[in-house]
Amino acid sequence: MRIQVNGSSVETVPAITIEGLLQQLGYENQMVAVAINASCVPRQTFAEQSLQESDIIEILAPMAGG
Amino acid sequence: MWKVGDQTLSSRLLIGSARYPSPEVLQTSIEASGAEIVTVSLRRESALQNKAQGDSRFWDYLRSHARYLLPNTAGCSSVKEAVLTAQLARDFFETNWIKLEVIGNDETLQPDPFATVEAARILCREGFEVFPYTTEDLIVAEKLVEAGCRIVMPWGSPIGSGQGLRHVEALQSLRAHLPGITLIVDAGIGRPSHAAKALELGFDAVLLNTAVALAKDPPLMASAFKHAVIAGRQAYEAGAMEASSRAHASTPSIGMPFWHQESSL
Repeated sequence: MRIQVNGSSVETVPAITIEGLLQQLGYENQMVAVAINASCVPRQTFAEQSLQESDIIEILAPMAGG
Repeated sequence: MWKVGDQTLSSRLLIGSARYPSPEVLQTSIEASGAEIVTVSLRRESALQNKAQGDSRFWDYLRSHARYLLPNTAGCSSVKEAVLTAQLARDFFETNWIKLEVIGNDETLQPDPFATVEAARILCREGFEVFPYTTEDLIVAEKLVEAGCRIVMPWGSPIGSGQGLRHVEALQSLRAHLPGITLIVDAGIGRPSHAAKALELGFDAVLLNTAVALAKDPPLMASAFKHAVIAGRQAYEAGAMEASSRAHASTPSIGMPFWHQESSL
């Protein structure tokens, strides 16, 4: 299926979990925050939460800030 | 010691983590500043592995050394974006503190007061401790307090400008009208004397970033700010004398030697 990740189109297996998507994109060793369709997804649920066709995903990482 | 939210702190300096020449300089600067609160951000990540590695040193240090992290909503220009960023930051950084920044003009980086108040109301209702970045406008500050904020952060002058406190009378008015609210000057501080001035006016603390990060020697400047904030607060507590338009001799005139008395004869 096709989803949007940080503004880019990404092809995944159907009903992939967030954890699976993070592995596919090479984030497995990195701490990130994730939003699906502009809703915050708690980190504890990354392994269970599965995605659907056309979902819009934002993956955020810590950055320096003022 | 002073209180911010439910925490008791000793340092009245809050420091940002951006724009330092290297992660090592960031680290030594934060240590030299004595700051207990360090601001951080959450941004869209690129899938490129090298970028992820570049950022990890900064994060590894802050995660293990900063006493309190204060995530911000920098870059947000709508209520919806700011609320979502705050929710993500709460989950990621495991804190209910959020520096709420909703920018209304990309050039001046002025906060959007209407969106800031609306976002503050939503976030306070959701249990956040909101640190709203605002102007020195009293009515906006009062609306933020009505929305549930216990902390208000007026700018001294535009972000990163280093101009110091542009509207001192307005800041004094804020302090006078909101005696029970924690007031932190955020943005525009360029020199330690600006920070000392804010504390002398009775502000509880200052938040700054660029003034340290872009100094020629950031750790030394961080130390200068540490001392300026202490000096400003002590001066406020000591109660400064009133300024006068006339000169007043500070040395007593009684007991002057005889030749002074002769010359006046």
